Amino acid sequence: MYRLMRNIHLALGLAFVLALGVYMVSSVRLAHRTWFSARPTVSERTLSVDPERAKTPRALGSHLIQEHGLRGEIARVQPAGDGEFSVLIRRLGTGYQIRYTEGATEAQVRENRQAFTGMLLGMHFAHGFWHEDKLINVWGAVLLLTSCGLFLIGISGIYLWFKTYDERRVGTVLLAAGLSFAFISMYLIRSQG
Amino acid sequence: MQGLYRWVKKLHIYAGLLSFTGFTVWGIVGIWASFLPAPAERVRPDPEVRIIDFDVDGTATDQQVTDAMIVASGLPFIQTGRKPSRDAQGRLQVRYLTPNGTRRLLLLEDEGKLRIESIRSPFLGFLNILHYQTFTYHNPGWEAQMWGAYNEFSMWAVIFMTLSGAYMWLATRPRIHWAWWTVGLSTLTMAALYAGLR
Repeated sequence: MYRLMRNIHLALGLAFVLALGVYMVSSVRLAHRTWFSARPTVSERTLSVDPERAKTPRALGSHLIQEHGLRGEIARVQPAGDGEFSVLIRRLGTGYQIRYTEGATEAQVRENRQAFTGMLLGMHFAHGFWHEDKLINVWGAVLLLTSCGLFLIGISGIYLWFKTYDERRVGTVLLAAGLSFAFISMYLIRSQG
Repeated sequence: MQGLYRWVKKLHIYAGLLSFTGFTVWGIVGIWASFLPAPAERVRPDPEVRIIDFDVDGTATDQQVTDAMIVASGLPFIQTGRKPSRDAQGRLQVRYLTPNGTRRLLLLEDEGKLRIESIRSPFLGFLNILHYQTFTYHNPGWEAQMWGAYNEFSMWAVIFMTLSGAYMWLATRPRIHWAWWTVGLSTLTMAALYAGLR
């Protein structure tokens, strides 16, 4: 049994090491923002538009996705007044802010492309299975599997520790200390309403 | 070498036991977030509302009035100095998020009242906010900082366990074929996903 659990612990650790790496690196970036100086790359261009296919902001977004290869999902639509509107098409790590005036044959596109750690942050925040972009749903499945994997790594780790007889006494104290500190903190926060 | 291995294993176990609650919370939040509906379909409950008397000093700046609103509300996890905004009717307001839910302080200047709105987060929403609090970035309050310190410790502990786990594998069982296959498949999958998502 010990040997089996040791293999399970190792296999899960290796299977999820890179996915966990995404979450850990992005967590460090969130916790210590000043350590990272990576700035997004911003570029602007003009794209031709068929006004017949851009009568509404969503139609314009779909048109640009289909005809000009802008990858992503329509994330936000905002009227800007005087027949002008803006559409945000976004995928992880990249956003296209589009400005368009009704009836025009061109749209202004401002592309904002995050650097590597910014991309990892985008992956950290992405979750769920409701995205138009199917690949983000696949990443959502990776999050779900990684979360389950984290549980199983923890449980198998607890078993392996418990079977390491030399470490039982110190380990029990540390486990109890960690649980107590965490649960007391949680209780103190939650009880404040 | 044997001595180094023994110490790395010991520290790996200790880091895991101390951070167990931390990474279990992350796991729970990850599973919960996976099954959340799309943002537009999420149900937003009505806030609990409390209205108290509040007189505005006519000579005070927006920030001074806001600070007075925060003090008068008596709410935890916020401190003076928070920047205000204005609602659609131009009324001064402060919105903020705590692990226990969202809060909004709205100044009803003509009535001499302060409207305090609270939406209590469900327990899993509470864990979600907790999971990104750190030693430096947390809501005001020593309780939040206590949790933030523990959460940040857990983050470094998991990073350490990842590295020490890899060392222990390579130091004891480097020739296990299925382990290399697992690493290879995991790397290929992640590289393909990264490239696709990019």
